[in-house]
Amino acid sequence: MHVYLPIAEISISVEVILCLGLCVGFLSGFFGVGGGFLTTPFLMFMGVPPAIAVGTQTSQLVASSVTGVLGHWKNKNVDIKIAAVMLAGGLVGSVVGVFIFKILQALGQIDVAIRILYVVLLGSIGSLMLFETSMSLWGRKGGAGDASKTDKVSRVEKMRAHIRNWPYKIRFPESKLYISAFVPIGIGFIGGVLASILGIGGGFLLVPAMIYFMGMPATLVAGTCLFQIIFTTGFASIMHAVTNQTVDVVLASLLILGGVVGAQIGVRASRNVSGVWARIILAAIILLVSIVLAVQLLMPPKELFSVEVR
Amino acid sequence: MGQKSVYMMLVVLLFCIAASSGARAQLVSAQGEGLTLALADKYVDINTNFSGRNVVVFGVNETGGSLVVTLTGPAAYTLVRKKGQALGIWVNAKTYGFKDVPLYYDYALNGEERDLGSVDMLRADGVGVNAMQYAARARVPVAQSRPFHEALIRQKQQAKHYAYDAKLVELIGGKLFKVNFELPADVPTGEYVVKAMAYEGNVKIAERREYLQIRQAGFSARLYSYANNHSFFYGVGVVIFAVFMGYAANVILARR
Repeated sequence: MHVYLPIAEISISVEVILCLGLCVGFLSGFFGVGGGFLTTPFLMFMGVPPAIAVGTQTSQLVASSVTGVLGHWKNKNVDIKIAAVMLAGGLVGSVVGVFIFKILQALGQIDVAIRILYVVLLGSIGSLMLFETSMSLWGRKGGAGDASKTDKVSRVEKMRAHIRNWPYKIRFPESKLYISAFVPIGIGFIGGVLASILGIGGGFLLVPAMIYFMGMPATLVAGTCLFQIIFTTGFASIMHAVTNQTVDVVLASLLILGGVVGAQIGVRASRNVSGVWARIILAAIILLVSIVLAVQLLMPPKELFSVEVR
Repeated sequence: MGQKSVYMMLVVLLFCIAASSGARAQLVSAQGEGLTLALADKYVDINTNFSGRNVVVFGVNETGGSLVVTLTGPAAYTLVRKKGQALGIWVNAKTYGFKDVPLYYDYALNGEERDLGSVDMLRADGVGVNAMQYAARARVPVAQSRPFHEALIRQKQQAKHYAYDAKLVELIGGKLFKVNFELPADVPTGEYVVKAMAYEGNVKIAERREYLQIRQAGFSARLYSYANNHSFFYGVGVVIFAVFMGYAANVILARR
């Protein structure tokens, strides 16, 4: 069955989009990630223009983040003050991101830029995750860390302490932190830029950053990050709708619908798999997507020409 | 069923026109002497479940000449980009802009294309894909813009927005003709021109035009116009909808 997308002005297969939503929902339920990094490349592959893929995806992320955050909210695992400070950076980042998006679009390089950013981001995060999780698998079997390792740790610790002591320090009682406001603002800013340009929540980048740079308690990180993502992606969505008219509500509903069902299946499936293995599988999927995109960038394309109606 | 009866009425009407010469004198313009053209529908409405449609063109040709019927979509400024390697990555390297490129083009003939006249004649009248001569925006030698021009046509053909070959004009009886244009699901919206031309030798002896509106309708059209005219409220609406969907999903999840 095909449905006509009123904003994209193309006709698209309902089954395929529902399937995509299902897969992405499964990932979000299984691993606790947004899965936006899969949706945008896949929609582009389906022939949806990059601008519409990104713009629409931001509104789908609002729905999946709301679903995700409610559980954390009930368990009081959301630090609203940190989220609010991050959001200040996130909103500015969204505006900057939409602006960069428009420039790249005018230059005719938006699809190339999106691909390169994905390859760099997913490639580095995927390899790091794979490295870290496989180390922890081996680490469990091995003994205590040697001298050089502890030395390295202390140096990283010093660097973090230095960053946190930047000016404009704010107290965050919920997380028991007293750190410079620039740290959450900076992390939020990067999240906002990514949401606008790539149509992703950026949780896979923000969560580690919040742990390493801010030193947030692990229990509060996921909920706080998701809570903040709702507003950043919501804002990015409105920005895309206003500046580019690229948010297709019909496409978004289909993605959300598939995502809702997929998330249920994902949550159930995750109960049967241990955390470490889940992380290794996720790292493998992220790496696979980045490799596919890298190949597309490096291989000579079948068709050298592309047509764009202004 | 409704469409079928409309066709029948048109056929009857056109036979009447063909039969009575008095009526003909009133209906045809000086330029369209002996040639009449009618569309089964003046509008094609694109709904949410739109998956392509047929546009049926009827006409009466009393000139005795060969017939050409073209369907041309709205024109737009179109960019053609060529990829090139930069640091090993394939990026968009070169771009040419073409003015007034029809978004859609299809045509039908009742004779062989070569019988209709010289190639230049057909070009001047915009018949056939080869007739499409777009002006490149920047002043560049034709040799440079030519590959871009060819790529543009090739891609439009692959997207089924340009015809590869001419359709056949169906002749019903002696003078009545019919052409069936098949619009794909992603047909561009806008005002289309249907042109019927009669040729004798190398000379165009008659021409008639009709206009066809292809537009979004119903729910789809309302969404489109709202998204364009009230983009802020549209954006806010989509976000509120997304929040509601996310909340509803959680409620359903929590119950189980």
